Amino acid sequence: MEAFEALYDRYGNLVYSVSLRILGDVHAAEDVVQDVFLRVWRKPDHYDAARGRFMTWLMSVTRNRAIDERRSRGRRLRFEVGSAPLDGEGPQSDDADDPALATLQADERSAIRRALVGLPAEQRSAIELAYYGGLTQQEIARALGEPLGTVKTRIRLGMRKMRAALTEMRSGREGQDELRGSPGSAGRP
Amino acid sequence: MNCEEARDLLDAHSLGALEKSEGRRVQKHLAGCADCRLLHEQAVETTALLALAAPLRRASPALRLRLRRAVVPRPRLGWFAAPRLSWATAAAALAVVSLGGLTWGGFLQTQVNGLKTDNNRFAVLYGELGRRDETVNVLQKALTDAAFKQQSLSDLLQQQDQAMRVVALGSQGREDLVSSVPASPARGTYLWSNEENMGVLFLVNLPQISADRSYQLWVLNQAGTPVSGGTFAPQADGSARLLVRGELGGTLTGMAITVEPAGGSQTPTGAIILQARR
Repeated sequence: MEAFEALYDRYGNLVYSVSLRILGDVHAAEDVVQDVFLRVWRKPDHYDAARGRFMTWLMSVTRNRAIDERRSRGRRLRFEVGSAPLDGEGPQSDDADDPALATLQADERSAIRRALVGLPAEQRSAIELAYYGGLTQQEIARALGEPLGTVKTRIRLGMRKMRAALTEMRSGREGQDELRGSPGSAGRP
Repeated sequence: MNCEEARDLLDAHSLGALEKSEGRRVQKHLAGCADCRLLHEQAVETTALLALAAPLRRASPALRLRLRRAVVPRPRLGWFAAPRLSWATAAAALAVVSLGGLTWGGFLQTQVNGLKTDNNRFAVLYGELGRRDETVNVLQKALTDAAFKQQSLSDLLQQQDQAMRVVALGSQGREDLVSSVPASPARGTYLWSNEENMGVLFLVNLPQISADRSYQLWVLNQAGTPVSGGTFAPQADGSARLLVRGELGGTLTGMAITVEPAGGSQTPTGAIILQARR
């Protein structure tokens, strides 16, 4: 149970936040959190360490599960563009007094939010509609009244900028790690 | 679809924003193109990190309790019939016969009759007590069984907990185990955590073996000598999971699984079923 609790302490609020952002409903989001953690607990080997970090996998699982739930509730096309403000943009989120949340993946959260906020509004909307709304490019084009080609370009350019921002953040961090001295790899098979 | 076309669609694919037919075409290309697969993995990671842009909210404490209840299995105790003692019988057996208004002879006769009746009643009581003893024995056995079950569940939980630590908390090393038997679907993955000083071996599609045989894990130490990592039997679905603790798991240079007599062997005697791909 210790590991499960540690896992929940580390990622529980993040999984909940993503689910809530996608579903917009506390009870539905809690159901998704429960499903996701039980899946991780019962089938930890579904995570393939060779294909990326655990957090990345966990977020994919969470997002997919929440989008499935959203679709099954038939609310797919009711996603409001920019419906939930990013931290610091709108009303203060209720995590300000929680040190665990405040430090959770702080670098990456900050880099992602900066990158997303830095995108032109139309690129950001297209990405958010796809990621949080679970819409296809065609559905986004219909929802926004834009040509499909325009939506495709916005997503491609927006994601490219996001990736560049993350790469920049990581290379900066690796530079700092090198200055501090990186951990050895003894013990690995 | 060529690489250029596929790469234009990788971000949308990772977002799940392609129409199904287009997604299938990308998937088909990825299956045969390692370079594009690598780019796709990067796109998937960027997409997954979009989750971090969601405003952080705190889940309710009730959810934590709900989850805790869901992951801690409770041993199921059977329901046993309580021993049924007839208190009316007991009271009658212990009752003293009334003496009032009888002659001595009649009194004695009454006492004898009463004693006979009591004897019969005591016999009934004695039988009931015997049955109660049997019930107590059954209860004791059931409680012992339950204690074993609870211990076994507790061991399972502990193993699950340790496996979870290796898999989810901290950085891992990884080895894939592939079958040495042609066309066998058996395969495995070994994850090692430096932080936990422990490894977990996940195996799937293992053939079932007879009760007098068991699978045995061998790890090759730095000197190349096989050291037993324990014996095991697969679950009904052919899966198995083993924890490899301490120095053994962290410094191994190879890994193999053989079939050995039940209880295991000092050195490998059977053919290698699975081995680490090196």
